[in-house]
Amino acid sequence: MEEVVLRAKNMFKDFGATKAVVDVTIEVRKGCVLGLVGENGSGKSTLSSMIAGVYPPTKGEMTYLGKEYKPKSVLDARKSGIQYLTQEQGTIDGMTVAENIFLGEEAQFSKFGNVNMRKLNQHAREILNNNGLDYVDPSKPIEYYSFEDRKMIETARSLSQQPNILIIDETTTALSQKGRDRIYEIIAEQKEKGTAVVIISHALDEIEMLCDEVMVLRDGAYIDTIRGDEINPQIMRQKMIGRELGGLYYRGDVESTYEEEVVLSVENLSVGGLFSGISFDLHKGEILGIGGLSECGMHELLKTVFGAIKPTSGTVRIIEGGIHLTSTAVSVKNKVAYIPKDRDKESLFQATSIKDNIVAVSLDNLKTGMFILPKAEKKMANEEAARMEVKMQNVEQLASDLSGGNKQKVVLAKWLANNTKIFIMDCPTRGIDVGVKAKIYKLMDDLKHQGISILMVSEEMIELIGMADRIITIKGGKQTREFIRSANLTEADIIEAIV
Amino acid sequence: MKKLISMFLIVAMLCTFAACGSSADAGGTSPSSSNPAGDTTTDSGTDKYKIGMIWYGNTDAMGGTFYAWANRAAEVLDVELVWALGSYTTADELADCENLINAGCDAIYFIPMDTAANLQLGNACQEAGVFWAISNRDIIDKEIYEAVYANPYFVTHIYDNSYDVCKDMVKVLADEGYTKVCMISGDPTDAMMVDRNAGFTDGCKEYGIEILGTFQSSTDSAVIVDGVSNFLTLYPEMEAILAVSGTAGVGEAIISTLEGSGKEQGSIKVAAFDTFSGNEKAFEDGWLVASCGGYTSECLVSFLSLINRVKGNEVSDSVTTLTLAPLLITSAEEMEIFSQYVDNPEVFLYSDEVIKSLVGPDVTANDYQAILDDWSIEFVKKAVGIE
Amino acid sequence: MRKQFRKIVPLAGLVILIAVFSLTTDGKFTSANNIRSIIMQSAIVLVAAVGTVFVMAHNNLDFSLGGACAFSSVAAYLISGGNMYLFFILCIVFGVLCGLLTSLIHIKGRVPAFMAGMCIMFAGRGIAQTAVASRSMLLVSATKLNNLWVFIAIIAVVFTIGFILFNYTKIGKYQKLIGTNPKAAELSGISISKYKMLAFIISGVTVGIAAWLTIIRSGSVSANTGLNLEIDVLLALSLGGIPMSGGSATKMRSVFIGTLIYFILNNGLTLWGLNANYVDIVKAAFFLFTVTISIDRSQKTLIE
Repeated sequence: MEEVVLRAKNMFKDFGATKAVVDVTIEVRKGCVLGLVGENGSGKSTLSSMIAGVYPPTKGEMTYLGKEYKPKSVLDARKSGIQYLTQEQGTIDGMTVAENIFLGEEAQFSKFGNVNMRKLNQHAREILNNNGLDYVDPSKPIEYYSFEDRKMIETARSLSQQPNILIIDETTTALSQKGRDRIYEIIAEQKEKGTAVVIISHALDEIEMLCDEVMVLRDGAYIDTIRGDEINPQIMRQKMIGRELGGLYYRGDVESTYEEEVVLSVENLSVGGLFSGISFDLHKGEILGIGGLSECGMHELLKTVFGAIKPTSGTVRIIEGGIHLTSTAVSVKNKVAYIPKDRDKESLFQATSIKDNIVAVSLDNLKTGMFILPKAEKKMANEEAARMEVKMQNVEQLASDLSGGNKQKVVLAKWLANNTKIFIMDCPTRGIDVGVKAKIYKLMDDLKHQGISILMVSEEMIELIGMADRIITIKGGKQTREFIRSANLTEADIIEAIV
Repeated sequence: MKKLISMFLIVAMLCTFAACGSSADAGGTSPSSSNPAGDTTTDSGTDKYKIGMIWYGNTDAMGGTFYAWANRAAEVLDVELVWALGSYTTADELADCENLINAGCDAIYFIPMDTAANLQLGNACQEAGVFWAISNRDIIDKEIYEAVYANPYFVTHIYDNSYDVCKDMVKVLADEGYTKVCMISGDPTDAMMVDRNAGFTDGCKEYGIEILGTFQSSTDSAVIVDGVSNFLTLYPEMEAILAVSGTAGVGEAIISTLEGSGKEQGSIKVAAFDTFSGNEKAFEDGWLVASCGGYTSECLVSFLSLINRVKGNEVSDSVTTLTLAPLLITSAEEMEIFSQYVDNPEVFLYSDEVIKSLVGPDVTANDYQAILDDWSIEFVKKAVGIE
Repeated sequence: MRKQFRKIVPLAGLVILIAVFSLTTDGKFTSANNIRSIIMQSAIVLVAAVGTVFVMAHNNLDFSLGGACAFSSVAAYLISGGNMYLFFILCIVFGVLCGLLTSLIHIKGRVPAFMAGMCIMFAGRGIAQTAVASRSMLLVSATKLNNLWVFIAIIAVVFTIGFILFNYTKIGKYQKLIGTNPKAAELSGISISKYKMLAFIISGVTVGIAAWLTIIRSGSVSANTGLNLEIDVLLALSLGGIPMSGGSATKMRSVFIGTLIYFILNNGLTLWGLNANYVDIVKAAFFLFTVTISIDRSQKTLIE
């Protein structure tokens, strides 16, 4: 067994009445990659936050490198050699790349309070080059760079002062495949160097690939540690939820089943610079999956099909009635739904009640005469929220208060309330924990059997293979191949078609 | 915690407001702290009379001067003033009037920003049984004039006699031998301007001066600049410019256009109504030969006559109508005297004795008119003790 | 906790003001005449604010109000020739026209709404000034309608209709959704252009009615008709606690609370006889204080 770098013993953390972490002990070893998994609310992020110095534990002690460890802040922890990468933006607007890299440590470059910018940029340049970021200019304002680049810069910053512990908290969720691969590389490199790595992720296949050891938490408490061959998604899921997943996670059947009737037809659809010449038919009761790399254009494709982006050429047609989907209003009127990838920014009305979110597209159906009565709204909202089993206090609660999984349930409830016939979904289970994921898959299966059609984009190959009747792959904006649902379909097959 | 602090702040702030309201200010006593709850005396009983003053503002020369004069007079005559500043439209003036009446004022003084203000405020005053007086505006609409003059609470109406001054300004030019002029005229729907237009045109006729061209004045200086430039181009024989107004940048625009025209300094004369900045220099440079201004005496006299009426002295059984001719200024020296002593809030051209003499049972309309007729540069000099 | 506190500040402010003025003016504040004055003085802003709420709800500011008021009055006056009923209808027609223009410049021209509004404001005021300069625009017959019951009737009808439209129809509900998250609104099938335009049209209707009321109070159309109306409305709504960026928290009651605070403050300070030099400072302090507390900074932070 490798040497223990940090031990956190009997950790407790309370937030008011909420007990986020209850008596958890964790050991982080040199050169070892430890995975922390659990549903939302399991305490995994809270635990790592405490180690990273975000806030102190309510109770518990930590020993680091043999000495007592009580970090006062993230900066403090960083100085001791514990680096923390999260999902959100970790760099600060209004400063240059170099300033961000040396945030809090400018003292080493300043004389009498004046920072020597040339030196700062020079050192930043070195760090960037060492991390494969030669194309980044340290003197440019950080806003100049994309989210992903900024995340890479942040990562470079964490690695610049060879850390003893590197904590990666759900960082990969928001990155493209390229970004994720880079992170995997970094983890491998650091492991080699002897750094202890802690990784938190919902992507169980990622965990399986990277970790030597996986600790499972549930509801703030420690459940089990699994090692070696035992590390696989099914076992992890089981322990995370604490019960057998009724056998099924994705669809039970292995055959492609859908009706002959075409409900939606896309012909030669192109949007300049994003994708071109896409054609396909969506059948009744079909789940049609679309797979590709993040920037292949498939996300914009869905928006265009829905009518939110104007195509430069091509048509999108609903067969029944021969209606062209030229605007989102037309689509909604014809019972087409769209579930965006960016839940918080594009599908949810945050500072608004759950009720208002759910009834938003169904207002025409709720009218009594000319007006929409609050009673009718409440009734519909309660019914749909119950159907989706949304965990909330009541429908008047603000949507922003909900967890990611519940937010997605509200979004689905919204479209179900409108008697949607065609669903267009973009990464419907992104950033959602296993329990809710399973529910969504079941819902999709149910809808399919009711004759409702689903057009789905996903960046998780497994999800596509597990749920779709057919899979269309997109590469560089162009359609490449079509796969039929089968038990023999593997990720490798699909990946070949998209890279 | 924040909630507590905020509540505390709100209460503290409101206490300061109450304190401000209670503290004695120029011409004001506390509205309620002198009357303990239960005391039935009304304000117009044993307490001082209250005059409501609807005034456009006290930050400019004339505004600040009248503000100072009126407050001083109120002290001397032992009345209380309640000011409502900042209104430029009839709707706002009406709101002020209503609020002042509700505050217990016995009389309202104001300058009607629009002819209709006379009607609306007059009606409000009549309904409340409150006296009112105006100054600085004539009433040109016949319907309103008749309605308003029939209002038994209308006490005094003083307005500018610009007609004579304009004729005098033309005479100044005539005396210098000029015969060809251009005119910047005024809005024919504005009561003030009608008189001035007439004064100029009649004066020219009387003194044998030809008006070559005319354009209507505007507060947009670009219009003035273009107009004057056009004059210079179209009428090279023009010797002088008559302007019905110099305020709001008009005077400055005229002079700067002339200066920039390349013409010899002082080769074209300007006679402009109202003073403007740069007046003195314009006189010295020889451009400006006649200017006029100074109306605050109108405001004062109207106001004093109102106080007189409130105290129970009826000067006339109908509306007292008087006029004031503004000061005529024809030289740089006179301009200097004007700048220094007229419309200067720190200079009280009317002494406490004079003010007292204008309120009382023996005062007549002629006394008021006499004050107005006295208005001249000589009067100013005497009042401040020069020569 | 803080959210609830923030919500009651405007109402609390109003209650405190009423209490303070009632107690310190020897009964003058609560006299029938005074209450009547306050109602009639606040009517214009109140009516215009009802329409403006629709625009603010979808996160826009309407700066055209003053110019639109002036223009509508002038145009209606010239065409109606003094017939009060025709004048009323025409005021509304021209008000709607201004609203339509503002929204078209904003939507088709892709000009930020506040700028589009200002264009209309300047244009409207310019046209009004030119028109007024060439002829006098007295409308003495209008003043006969200057009585309490006409005003109460108009206020009641406008506010009720506004309230119902805002809270119980798509027109109002969609404004709030667009204000909260325009992207999500579009992706929920809401036609943003259509509803924004509707909001400006409603604002145009109310500004037309406000113009009519202004003429009734003033008895004439002048170059200054409607001067600063947009600022007064904005101030009143802010005092009423309306969220600056609109959204779901926008409430019609801000109209009433805010307008009353504004005019009661004005009225009360005059009743007190507060030294004129302090009046503006006191008003400014009160505004600043109420608005600072009411601003919901939490709406400004990005999620995550």
